[in-house]
Amino acid sequence: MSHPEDTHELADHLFRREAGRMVAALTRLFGARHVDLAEDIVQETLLKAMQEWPFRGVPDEPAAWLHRVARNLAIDRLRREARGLELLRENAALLRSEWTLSSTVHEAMSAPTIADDQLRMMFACCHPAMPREQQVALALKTLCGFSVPEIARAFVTNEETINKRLYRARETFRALGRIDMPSIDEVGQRLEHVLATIYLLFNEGYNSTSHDDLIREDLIEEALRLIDLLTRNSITDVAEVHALMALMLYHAARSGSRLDVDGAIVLLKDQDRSKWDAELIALADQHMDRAVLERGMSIYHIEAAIAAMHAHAPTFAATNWVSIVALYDELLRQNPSRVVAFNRAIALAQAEGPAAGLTELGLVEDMQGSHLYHAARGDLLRDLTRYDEARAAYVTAMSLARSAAEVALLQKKQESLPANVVEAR
Amino acid sequence: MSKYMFLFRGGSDMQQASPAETQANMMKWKIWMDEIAAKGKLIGGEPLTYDSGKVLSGRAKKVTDGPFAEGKEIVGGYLIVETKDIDEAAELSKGCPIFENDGSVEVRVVMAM
Repeated sequence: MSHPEDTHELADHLFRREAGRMVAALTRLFGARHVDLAEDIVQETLLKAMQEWPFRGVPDEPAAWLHRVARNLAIDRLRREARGLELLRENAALLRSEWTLSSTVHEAMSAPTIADDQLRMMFACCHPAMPREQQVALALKTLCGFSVPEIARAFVTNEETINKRLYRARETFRALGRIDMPSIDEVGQRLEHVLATIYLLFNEGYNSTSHDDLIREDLIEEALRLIDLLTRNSITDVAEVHALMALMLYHAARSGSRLDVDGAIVLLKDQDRSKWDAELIALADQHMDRAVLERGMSIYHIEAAIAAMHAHAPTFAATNWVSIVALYDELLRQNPSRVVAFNRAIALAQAEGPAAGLTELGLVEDMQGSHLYHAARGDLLRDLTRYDEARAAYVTAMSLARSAAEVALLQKKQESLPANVVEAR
Repeated sequence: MSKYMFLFRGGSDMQQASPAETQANMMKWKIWMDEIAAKGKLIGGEPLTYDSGKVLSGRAKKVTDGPFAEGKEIVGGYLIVETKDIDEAAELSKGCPIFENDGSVEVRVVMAM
């Protein structure tokens, strides 16, 4: 029975976090083929907690309670079903004998192995045989404990699409058999997929203004949690991982000042820099220091260096735009994409003036379909006092913008344009 | 003061719920029950499992295994409260999170000895 004095506070994401851990541990034990069984057991565990805790109070160690229940459910299920399951060769005998069943499950779910299980699971979910969108959906479902509707909301798509992606991803996943950590030789190429997935997760949370705040914060938190796991394993504790962690932390440090109290977007130029999270910036600096210890510059190194320039600039005007342009040049060499070229043009406008920026922007092809392109063009035309053209650019941007906050910002910009001198007469 | 029993039916269809939703639902139940307890009106109660059980019936005491009823009808637990009258008990039951999941609460009077 719960008592009024029972003020035991639960961590906000306890269920989600422990779900990810338990699924990883059980999947490793059963083999990839039986990931559904692992998810079933975890779901049952959480439902049991949901039923019991209100009546009996939250246990003193809620996570340990969940793990114990999952363990017992796993033992029950294996006792009944182990013979019918295609278990991994090294575990089959252990899980089928009453002598060893219990201790094998206990060991699989003990604290020291669980962190490694999650890492292995991360590599399995980001298997190169799956397209990235499937990797992300699978990682969110099994590793991060998101439901299908939540994933659909995170990617602003429908549940059917996510179900299809998960279905295909699971087909590939099941065929993996053992959930193994890649060897040191393999880690290099496989890590690239893991990092790209984590960064995508982060960007979905950070950049998209089109879904609700809760899901966005969850995505950012999960991305940071997963990369943190990578830094804690000797095989994956490499420069590139720290560079991406630094990059995400620099961004996260600024996230609180990107929207005003009404939910309107505040541009970098207008953000209150005193509100940036100094602790996160300091933490990012530490990872940056670690990232540059090794030879080689990944794209994450360069992007983190750009983010660091912004994080440490006292004001927008005092930002070292010349260095930022140089970093974009390097980034463009490694990753020739329209988005990078676009960002470079914006930085160039700050370094060399709006006319140079506008010329450069004109060279960026394929960005015509993005509201960002037209919004940036509008800004530069405004700075050049070409107000009519600026107005037209903002109107185009508004027609392409995806969220109300973006439209509102563009509307404000458009309304604050003075009439052209010629017209005023 | 009299005792009343709340019988919870249905509202258990959380198979597709995410861990975050499950935790949120658990917290709602806890807060609701804690409030009743804080008012000194909570006597006791237990949750019931859905997955096993038996029904015995007839002279032959025929034994059947659960589940015993349609999902909506399965009793998932009970609570005993002590209130001034049945209206107050019914009023208390209105705060139950089960209604968000399509479940129902049956309020019954515990017979006074």
